Amino acid sequence: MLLADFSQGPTTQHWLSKVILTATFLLVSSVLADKAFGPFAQLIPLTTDEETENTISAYHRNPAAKIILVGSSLTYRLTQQYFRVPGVKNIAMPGKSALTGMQIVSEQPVLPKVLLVEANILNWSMDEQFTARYRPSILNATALRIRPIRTLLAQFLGWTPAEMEDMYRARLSAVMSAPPAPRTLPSSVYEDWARTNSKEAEDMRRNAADFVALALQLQARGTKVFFVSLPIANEMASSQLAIDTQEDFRQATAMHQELLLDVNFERSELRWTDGAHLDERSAILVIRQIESTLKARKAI
Amino acid sequence: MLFTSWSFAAFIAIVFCIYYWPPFQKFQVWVLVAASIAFYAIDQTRMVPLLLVAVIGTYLCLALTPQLVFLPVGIVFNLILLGFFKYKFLFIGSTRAATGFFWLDLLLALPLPIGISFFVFHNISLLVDHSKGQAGKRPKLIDVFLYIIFFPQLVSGPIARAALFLPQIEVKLIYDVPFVSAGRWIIAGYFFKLFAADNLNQLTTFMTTPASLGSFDRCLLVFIYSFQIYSDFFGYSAIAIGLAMLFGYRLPINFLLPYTSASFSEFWTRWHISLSTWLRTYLYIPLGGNRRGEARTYLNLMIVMSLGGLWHGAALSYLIWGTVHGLLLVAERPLLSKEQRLYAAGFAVSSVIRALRIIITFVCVSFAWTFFKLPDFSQAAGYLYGIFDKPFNPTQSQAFYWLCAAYSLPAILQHLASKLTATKFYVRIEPFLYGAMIYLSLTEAGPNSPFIYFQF
Repeated sequence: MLLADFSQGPTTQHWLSKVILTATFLLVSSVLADKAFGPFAQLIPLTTDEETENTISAYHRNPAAKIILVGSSLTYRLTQQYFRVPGVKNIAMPGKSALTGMQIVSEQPVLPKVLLVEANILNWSMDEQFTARYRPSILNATALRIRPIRTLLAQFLGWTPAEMEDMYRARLSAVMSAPPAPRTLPSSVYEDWARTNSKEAEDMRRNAADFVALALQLQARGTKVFFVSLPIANEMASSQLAIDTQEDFRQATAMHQELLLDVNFERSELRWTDGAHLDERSAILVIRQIESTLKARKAI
Repeated sequence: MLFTSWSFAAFIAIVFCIYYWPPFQKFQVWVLVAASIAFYAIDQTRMVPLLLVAVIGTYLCLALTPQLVFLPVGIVFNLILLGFFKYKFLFIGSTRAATGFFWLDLLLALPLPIGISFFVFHNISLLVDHSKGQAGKRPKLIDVFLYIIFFPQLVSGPIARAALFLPQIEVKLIYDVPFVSAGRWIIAGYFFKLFAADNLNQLTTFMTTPASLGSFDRCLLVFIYSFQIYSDFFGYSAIAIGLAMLFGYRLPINFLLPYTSASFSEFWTRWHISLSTWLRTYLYIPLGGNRRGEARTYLNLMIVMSLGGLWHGAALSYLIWGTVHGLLLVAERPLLSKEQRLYAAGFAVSSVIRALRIIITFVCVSFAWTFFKLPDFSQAAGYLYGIFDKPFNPTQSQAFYWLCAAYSLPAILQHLASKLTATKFYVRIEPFLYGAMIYLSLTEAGPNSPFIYFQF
């Protein structure tokens, strides 16, 4: 198959017609099946890249939300199913700046009531190639919702959206009833972090200015934008990179204090898997504290 | 420009229309050369002058006499080009200080030219074949350009020998285009790349962060990568062959069901055939091949395979990969001689023994690919060490294993069921299979990733 008879001459010109008709028939059938019987069960993403693609695609299909969170892998830990407030969408993308998420949101015709923007990382710039791929007009023209193999497999394994929601709800109480993890991390964790996070002062200042400019644009369209600095371990918070990030943000928002969301995090209860990323229990605690602060600011 | 982009499809459509438009019939070679330069310039505009220098330099060495002098000059010129651009960072480091010599600093600052390993090998093939009189009379400069920079093969081959390619340069008519054959190659190529290789690539990313992987998953991913690299490179080669057919040229096939090889020497007659043919013709045989006694044969095999490994990249891992293959070839050689003697004496090799040998060859070849996936030697060594160090239990979700099976299936079926293609039933269902391949390439494509061999 596929190889052995390549050397033989062409059979007939009907061959190409049959090929094209088969492909067209299958494509049309998939689209019709999706419209008639969809949405189908989805596979749990296997990698964070795949999850990012799925998250942003799902967000594009239905951008309506009360609160949207944008950020990097730090915010990614704040699982949307753990919020008490309904209508939360977390579209944080591991490995990408929060600017990328902000840009994607800003290009939507429907904006959220509140946009929470992670303010921990300034040394990454916007991924313009990625945002270009997710402009609504391009996406609507090219998106095919069905991935046949994965759809069939998800159906076979019985991963329906309702079952996924149930799974998160069941996990919530189990995670919260567990005691905090011990707070010991080897020093090499912090050393590796410092080594792999380089910074360019000029880039950081420019990115900070971009954050504020985008936030003001969104505010002008009626969205309340808040920058929130998620808690990280003291060893990382006292690094020069973290101090410079805070300082650049402070300077960029000097004239727009209303953009800052000061959350009083209960740090003694918080733990990190690597000094930067919250463990699941801590992420839920942080979610609760963010929710109360937003209520206090009458944002929700 | 990626072969898998829509802009590339538009590029092909435009070039195809101009190429077969009657007013341009006399200028077909020029059209292809211009298209190839444009294709290269889109990704690496500033390296186009280097590409032109490489071709013109080779042509001058071909044109000047005496050939006894200029043939070695041409070969050395090309080897210096390859050596300088591919291996400079081995000696100077990527963050070196300026030397103070403008031209040297300029050259050192240039990136690795895309496809240099391939166009340099084309140049050497042209020089050697011509000196032996195998490539016909001295070709025109424009024909040399086409042979070396023909865009379907420019970036990752197949490495067509000059003696096979140059005689094909003539006026082409659209009526002669084998659309069905070209269609088969192109559809199969895209299917293997988009459906199989790109999805498997996503699964094998776990190899780069293996801390949580148990022994079972590590082994499984080694084999999955084996199918990935095959699907990726077979896919690329198939697309290149199909595209060349659209323009009236036949490129050599690069793969012949390599994972059905029952020995390592057989593997190298089935895997990346154009490279192994090149190495045999222009390196192994000139070194003396197997004509100078056993010890010298073993030495030649080790030299050729180690250099073949280094050709892929300036890293210890590639050298080790080549050396491992050299050692495997050396180790099996006495056994193969004994087998041949038994065969001559009337003993037939049973199918069970052959199947066992195929499995052994596949397992060894697959484990050697680890050095391709993880070019950082310590990372590759750590990964392999973990196979013996970690518990054997599977650690991934059920879906992960199902997807591994689903996306490896094209390569597995192609290897196991190739004989079915001769049946009448297959002929009847073939167009529907290819239609399904287009459908799956469009709907089930993995995240876009460059062809693995683009980096070489």
